[in-house]
Amino acid sequence: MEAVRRRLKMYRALDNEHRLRIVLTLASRPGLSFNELAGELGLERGLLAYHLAVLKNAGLVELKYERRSKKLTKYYLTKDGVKVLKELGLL
Amino acid sequence: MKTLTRRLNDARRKIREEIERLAKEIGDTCIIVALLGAGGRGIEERRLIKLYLEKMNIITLIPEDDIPEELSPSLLEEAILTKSDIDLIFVNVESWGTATEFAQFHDKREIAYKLRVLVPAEYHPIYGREGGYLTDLYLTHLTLYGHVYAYGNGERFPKPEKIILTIAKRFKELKALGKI
Repeated sequence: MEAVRRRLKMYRALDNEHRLRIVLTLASRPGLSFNELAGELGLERGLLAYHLAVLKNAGLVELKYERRSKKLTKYYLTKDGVKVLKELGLL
Repeated sequence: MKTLTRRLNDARRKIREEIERLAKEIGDTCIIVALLGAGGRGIEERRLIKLYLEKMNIITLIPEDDIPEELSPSLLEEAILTKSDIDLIFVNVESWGTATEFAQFHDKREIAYKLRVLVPAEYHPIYGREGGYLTDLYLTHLTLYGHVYAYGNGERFPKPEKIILTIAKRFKELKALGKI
C-alpha cells in the first residue's frame, strides 16, 4: 500500500507540463543549477522554484548545495525519477 | 521516430491513466498543499504539520524550506499564489507580513478560492471582538469565498494544526471521490 501511495505521489507530481519538461531536462543534463534550469526552460524563477519544490517533495528530484564563490544549488533526478521516466518511455 | 511533442503527449496520457488506476486501487488520491506563514515564526509547527500531511500522501510545500538558498521565500510564495496548480493554500495570519500578503492575493479570484485562511480567534470577523482593516478584509473574504477559520489554543477554538489536518484530509477524500 505504501509503495502504491508513493507511486501515486510521483505521478501526481508529473501531471504537469512544466514539471515533465523539468525532469526531462535533468535526465539529459543532470546537475544543472537553478539559474541554468531557468534559462534552459524559459520559466520565471518563482514558478520554477514552485515546480522544483513539488518534484522534490514527491521524491523525483534532489538538490545538492555546492559552495564556491557563492551558494549554488544543483538538481538531479533521483533513482525513482529515472525509473518513472523509463516507465513512461521518455528515457 | 516520435517527435518530442508526441512523446510528451503520450507520457501525459499515461500519467493520467496511471493516476486514475492507482487512485482506484487504493481508494485514495494525492493533492498538493502549501503552508504559508510568517517566515521564521511558526515554522517548526508547520514542519510538524507537514510530517502528518505527508503520511496522508499529501505533497506539502513550505516556502522557507523548499526554496533554494539563493532565492527568497517570497518568490515561491508569489508563484504559489498566482501561477501554480496547487490544490489548497493554508495561510496562517500570524503577523503583519502574512496579513499584507493575504490582502494582496485575496481578491485574485483564480487563487482566492484555494485559500484557507487561519486567523487568531480575536481577529475573526464573526467570533472575534477586534475590528480594523484586516478583520474587515477577512469578512469580505469570508463572504465571497468562505474558508476563514478562527484558531486558538485548543480550548474554545482549535489549534491551527487541527484545522489544517482536518480540512486537508477531507479535501483529499472528496477529490478521490471525484466531488472536486
